[in-house]
Amino acid sequence: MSTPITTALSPIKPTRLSGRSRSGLLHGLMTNRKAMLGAALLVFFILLALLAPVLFPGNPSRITALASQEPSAQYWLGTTAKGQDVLALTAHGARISLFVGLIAGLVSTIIGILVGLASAYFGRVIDESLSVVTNIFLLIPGLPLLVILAAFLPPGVGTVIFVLIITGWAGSARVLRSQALSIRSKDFVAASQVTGDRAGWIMLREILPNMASNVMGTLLGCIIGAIGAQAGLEFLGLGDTATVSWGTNLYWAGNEGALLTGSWWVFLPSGLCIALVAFALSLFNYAVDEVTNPRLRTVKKRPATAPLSRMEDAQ
Amino acid sequence: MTDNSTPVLETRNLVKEYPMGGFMARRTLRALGGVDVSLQVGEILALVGESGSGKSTLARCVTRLEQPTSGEILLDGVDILTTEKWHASRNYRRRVQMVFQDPFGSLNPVHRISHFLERAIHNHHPLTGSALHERLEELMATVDLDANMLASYPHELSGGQRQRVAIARALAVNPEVILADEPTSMLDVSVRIGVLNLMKSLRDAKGITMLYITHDLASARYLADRIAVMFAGEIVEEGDSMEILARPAHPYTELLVSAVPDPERTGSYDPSLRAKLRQQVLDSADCPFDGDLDNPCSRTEPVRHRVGDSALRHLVRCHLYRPTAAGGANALVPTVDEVAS
Amino acid sequence: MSSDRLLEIDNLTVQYRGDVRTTTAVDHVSFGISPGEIFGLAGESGCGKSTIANTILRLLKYPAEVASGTIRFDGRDVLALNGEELRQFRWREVAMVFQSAMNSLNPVITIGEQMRDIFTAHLDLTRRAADARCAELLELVQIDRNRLKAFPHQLSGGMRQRVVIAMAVALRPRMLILDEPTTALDVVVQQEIMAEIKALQAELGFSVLFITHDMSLMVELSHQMAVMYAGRIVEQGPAATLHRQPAHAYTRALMNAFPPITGPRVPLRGLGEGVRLTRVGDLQPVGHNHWSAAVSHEDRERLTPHAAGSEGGPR
Repeated sequence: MSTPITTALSPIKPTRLSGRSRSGLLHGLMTNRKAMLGAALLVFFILLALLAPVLFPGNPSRITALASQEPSAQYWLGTTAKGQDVLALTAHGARISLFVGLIAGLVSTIIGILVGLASAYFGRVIDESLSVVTNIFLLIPGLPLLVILAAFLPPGVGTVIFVLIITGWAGSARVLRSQALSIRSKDFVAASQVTGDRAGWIMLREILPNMASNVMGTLLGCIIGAIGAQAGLEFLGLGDTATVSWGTNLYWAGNEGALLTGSWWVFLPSGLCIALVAFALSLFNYAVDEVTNPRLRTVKKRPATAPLSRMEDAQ
Repeated sequence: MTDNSTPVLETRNLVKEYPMGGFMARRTLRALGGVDVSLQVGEILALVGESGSGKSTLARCVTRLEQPTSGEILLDGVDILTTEKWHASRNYRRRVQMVFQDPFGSLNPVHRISHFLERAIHNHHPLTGSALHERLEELMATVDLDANMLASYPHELSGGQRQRVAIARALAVNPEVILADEPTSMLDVSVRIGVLNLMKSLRDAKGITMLYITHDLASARYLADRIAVMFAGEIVEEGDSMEILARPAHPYTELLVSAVPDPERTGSYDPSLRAKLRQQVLDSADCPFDGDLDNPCSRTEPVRHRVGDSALRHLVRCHLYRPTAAGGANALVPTVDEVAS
Repeated sequence: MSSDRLLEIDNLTVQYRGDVRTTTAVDHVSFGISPGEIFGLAGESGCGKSTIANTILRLLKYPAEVASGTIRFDGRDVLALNGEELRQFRWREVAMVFQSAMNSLNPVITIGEQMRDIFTAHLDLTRRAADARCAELLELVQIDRNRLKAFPHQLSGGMRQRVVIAMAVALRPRMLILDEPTTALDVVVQQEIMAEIKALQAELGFSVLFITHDMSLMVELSHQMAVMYAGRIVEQGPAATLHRQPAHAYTRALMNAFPPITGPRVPLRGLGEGVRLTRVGDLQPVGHNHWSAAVSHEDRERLTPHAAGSEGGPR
């Protein structure tokens, strides 16, 4: 039988994909349920944070009603022991919590990228010394360091951000270094050197773009970590107790004995928000992993086809 | 080709040692043990050896991706290890280029084909606008690729096409010397000849000198004017391609020649003879030719000898005296002049 | 065709079923191997030769499936073997040597243990008896029996491949499939391995299905050979005949792609990139025991090489 050949042997012809890494990733994410759910949640909270002054004008810490009231039609989430509107506090709390988390996570990741790339690219002495520094920061117990730094530095949002960055950068540096190392050993880096490209260019424009999904994952992880660590710090009273954030809401809730009096509506919302944001970021992280690593994708079930007897050879 | 003109690229007594066993290492691995290679303008020299022979290390040293332990690398007679000791200058990068073995690894998957050529041009002869575009198209045409591939990504091209892009990238800077480290070994067999023919035509048309590194003697014979055989970090024999394969003087070269599959040999295949020869060369302490009056090698003078007509520049080094790392120094007597035989 | 063939493949078609389309990896292929014969299967990557090897040993995994055709080994239908029969068939009747020894050997278990497993699993031998057989086996491939205690990475590439070959002939199979056994090895080691295989074959008398893209090596070693393109056989016959008088243009082109080591230096014309053949007809006899597929006029044009140095480029 002579049939035209439509088999595996045709070499690849150039197809007009506009930007493989970018549009492929975006498209993959837009069809992924986890990504969409995570993104939706994040968008909700970001909007909440941005619109808080509009939806709840005025100072959310002002005392506006009777103390410790249960949720009602007027105050959807009730009031605190002092008589503040919990809903307003929660909404405004999003602003600082998200802002600090985002900034701290972003800067930690950037420092991690720079350290990781430099370590991997230059190797030898620079790698040894940067690794020593990274390891020191990794070994130092995070929370005690946070506590000590926060105790000595003047209170304020800036301090919180600074402290979070100091304790957060080393983890991402370690991870990014190892991926950068494996890319560094590839021929295209050597080819770039032979072409005459400089170190900076090679690190940022040749190696880094190949680490995109890892960087994204690290960034998301850093942000989650920053939000959680921030909440922890503030709950202990080491943040700036004058500002309104989810962590400080929890601090005041603890301070005013909301747990003892059973006023769940005071601490639940802030805690839930932190958990939901972390959840949303994690979902997005999983989704990015799935899209960039096809092996993690859940296999769609196919309708049963004709004789299987000859195919089931995996014995 | 006379011996009088300055070689365009030359190494003298190039040594590369790697410390083994960590920070306070005592033992060293001697990847290159005093290698002398010289390339005349416009010639194609093939460096043939098995894995571990040091040929890739030599390429990496010459392209300054590794720092040699000692020795000289001369470009047009100037030792660049003295003039630019730690980092290759932009000038050196323009004049000496490399094509890598793996067509799938030597192009960064996140960039389009045009990127690779543009970087090369940008670093050495910056062009913009229509001049740049013309140059890109010219380069693609030189390597027989369609210009509309410039917008593609590496994974959209086949192995042979990628290797042609790699060659175009090397050409983009107008180099004088191109080193090709096993450029065809990872390609499908039927496209290998095409790439080799391309390299030859580039030499013929533009006079680019080439160092072709391979383990495949047959392709070395096909492409190169001269062949240098490497073993255990040293050049053991060097000479005209046809001559050296027809009349190998060194037992290792002989072994290599006999190991190449030869379809004409069907039926008269004697593997035991080959195994015996290999055993002799690699394991024995005695030179199988020692005491043989006809043979240029001898136990007391392990130096480079000229074989046959001096005009052919056929040189051989006795295998008996191999460098030992434990001894620290090269057990071979370093030689400056060849001994006329 | 004689009926005393050891392996008889008749009209085999193997397809990969995808979501969007189906690719035919092996397209109505028929050939046979007699006892004690070395049969070479040549072709470039993607032509289907490895798929055939995997199908013989029933190693195909979803989405690959046998669409039609039969494989008979010593008269039995291989594709219809059930679990227990398959266990008896694999390794005892037909064994396989893969391209890279490191793909076959477990890096964290010693050679001795891995070899012993074959005997204890298939022949139910005691550990002692198995060890004795292992030592014998290593001697068969000229490796010192002390190396039984070594891990794979402690052996050189050539030795590893010899171990793999030893493991393949451990149960004295009647047929050995070699899938690019020496491609990853140096040329001198390659010759040793091929010598080893030839010696073993002379001693133990098994048939060999030898798959490689190295035409020179194949012609040197094989009795019969077949050239494949895009899942179809384009030419088949005695190896020497195919080398000296190739009937099909593709065979000719492939043979010409290997520069000779002796004789005058002639410029060779390689094949360009892109599709070579659009249609491969059925095999027609062109000589004693020699078949070739008809070549259409356009295909003949495609296979005519251009002037040296100007192949390549898309069509």
